Amino acid sequence: MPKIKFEKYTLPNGLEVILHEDHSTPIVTVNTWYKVGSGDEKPGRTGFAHLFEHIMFMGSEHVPVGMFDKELEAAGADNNGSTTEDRTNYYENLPSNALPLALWLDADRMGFLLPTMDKAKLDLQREVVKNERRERVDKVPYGRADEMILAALYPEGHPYSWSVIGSMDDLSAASLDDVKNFFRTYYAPNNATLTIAGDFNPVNAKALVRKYFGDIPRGPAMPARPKVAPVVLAKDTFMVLEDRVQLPRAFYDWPTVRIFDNDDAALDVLASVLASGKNSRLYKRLIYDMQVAQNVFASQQSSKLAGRFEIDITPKPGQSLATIDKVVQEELHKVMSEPITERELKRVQNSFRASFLNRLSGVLGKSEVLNSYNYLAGNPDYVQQDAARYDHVTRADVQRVAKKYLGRHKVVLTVVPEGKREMMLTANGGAQ
Amino acid sequence: MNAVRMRRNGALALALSAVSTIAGAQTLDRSKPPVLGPPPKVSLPPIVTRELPNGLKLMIVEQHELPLADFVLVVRGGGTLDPATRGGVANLTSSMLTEGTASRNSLQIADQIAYLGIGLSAGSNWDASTVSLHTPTSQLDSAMALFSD
Repeated sequence: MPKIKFEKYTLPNGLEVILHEDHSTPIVTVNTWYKVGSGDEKPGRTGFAHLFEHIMFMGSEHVPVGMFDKELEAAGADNNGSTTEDRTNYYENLPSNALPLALWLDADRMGFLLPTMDKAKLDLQREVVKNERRERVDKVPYGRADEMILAALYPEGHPYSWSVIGSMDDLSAASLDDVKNFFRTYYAPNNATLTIAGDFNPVNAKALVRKYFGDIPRGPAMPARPKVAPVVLAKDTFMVLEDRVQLPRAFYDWPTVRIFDNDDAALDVLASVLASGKNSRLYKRLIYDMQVAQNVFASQQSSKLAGRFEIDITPKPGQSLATIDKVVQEELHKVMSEPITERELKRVQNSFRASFLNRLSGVLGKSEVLNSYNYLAGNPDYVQQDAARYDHVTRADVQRVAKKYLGRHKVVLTVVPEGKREMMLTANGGAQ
Repeated sequence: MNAVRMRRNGALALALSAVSTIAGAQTLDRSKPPVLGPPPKVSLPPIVTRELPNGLKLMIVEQHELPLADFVLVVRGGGTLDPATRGGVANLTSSMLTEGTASRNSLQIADQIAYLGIGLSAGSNWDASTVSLHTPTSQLDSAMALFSD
C-alpha cells in the first residue's frame, strides 16, 4: 500500500494546513474541513450544520452573492460541499493556475461571512434546505426510514439520534442569531483543516495560505465535544412505517463501534461476507438461489462517536418478508456458530485492498482521505495502518464480532405499502 | 456516514476579464479576485499503438503513479445495429458477457472478480460495446485471463 506523502503545519491562528503534491495532471483540489457536523447540534436545533453549509455559498464581505460560482466557472473549476454527522467540507477542483482564486474565496468566507449575512439569505437557504428534505427524504420511497431507525437506535439526546438534514420544525425555528452564534463558535481557523492536493509549488502555496488566511483571527476555544457511552439496547424494537411504495423493505440495525475501533474492520469484513457480491451469504441464497429478494445490502457504518451494522432487504413482488426473515436468521446463526471460509476472508480482504488503491487515484479523493485520517485518526499519515487493519482480520475475529454485536438486541423497521401494516416483521418473524 | 450533499446549481458562466491589482506587502486588498496566471498546458502522455496478428488494435498509455491498470475493449457495434424488432439486443448481449463463458459460470466469474479485487463490466451505447477491466497490477495475469475469457 503506497503512502500519501504530505506536509502538515499549523498557522498561529490555529488553522491546520496539509499539502500533498501530485504533478501528474495540472489540477489542484482545495478541500477545507470544518470540524463540526450534525453531531454537534442540540435537540431543537437539528439540521444546523447542513443549513450552515448552504449559507457558506451565499457570499461574504468581499465576494457578492453569485460571484463565487462565476469566478470559479470562468477559471474552469467546479466546487461543492457536504455535511455529515462529524464534519463539513468545502472543496474546489481547479486547473492549477487558479489556486489563488480558491484560497481567496475560502478565506473570505472563513473570515468575513458575518458582515453580509442577513435574514433574507437565511430565509432563502432555509427554504432550499427544506425543499432538499422534501426531495431527498419526505417524498422519496423509503426516505424516512433512516430517521426512524436513528431515533430508535440511539438514546434521546445522543448526537447521532437525529438525521443530518434535521427536522422541518427545527429548520423553521432557526433564527439569524442562532446561525451567527453557530458561525462564531465553529467556523474559525482553529477548528479547520485546509488541504491542498495536486499540482502546485509548495513555497508558493504556503505564501498564498499565509497571505489569505494568516490574519483571520483565531476563534474562541471549542465547546466541549459530546461524550457518549457505548449504545446498548435493552430489548429488540420492531417498528413499521407506511409509505408510498409498492414493495416492503426490511431494515435490521444493531449498535456497534466507532470508526477505527478494534472491531470495526472485522465488522466491515462481516458485512461483505454477508451481502457483497453474488457469492455472499445473503445474496446467493435470497437473490440467486431462491430468487425471493430484489436486493440486499449490509454495512458497518462507523463514524467518529459510534457505529451501527445494518442489513436491508427488498423482496421481489409477491414474496413474503417472513420467508426472507427466516433465511436472515439462519445465515446470522451460521456466521455466529462457524467461522467463515478462508476463501471468503481472502476474497473480501482483496476487495478492500483494491478499494484502498482506488481511493488514491485522484486528488479530490486523496484530499478527503488526508482530511479524514487527520480528524478521525489524529494523523493524516494513516492509509497504511488503515489498510493493515483489514489484512489482520482473522476468521475467528469475524465470528467473534458476529456473536458479540449481531447476537445482541436490535432495531427492525419494516417499511410497508400504505394499508399493509400486517407485512411488518415482528418478534415472531413475519406474516406469510 | 449519512452525508448530505448540497447540490450546487451555479450561475451561468460568463466570460470575465478581471483586472485587479494586488496591494503591496503591507495591507492585503481582499476586495478583488487575484489575477491568475495563464491556464496550464496539458501534456498528454504518449500513446503507443500496436496491432496483433489477429487484427486487434492496441493503444497503450503508461502511468506509473499507482499499481493499477485499466483496459477497455471497444467493439464497433452498439444499439444502432439492433434489428428493428429486437431493440436492446446489443445491450443485453453485453450484459450477458459477465454471466458466463465456456469455462466459467456466473458465480465463478463473480467470485473471481471479488477475489482478485478487480472491476470487470460490459455495456453498450449506440455506437459501440465495451468490456472494461480495472485491476491492481499484482493481479494482472489472473485478471487478463478472466478478461480475455
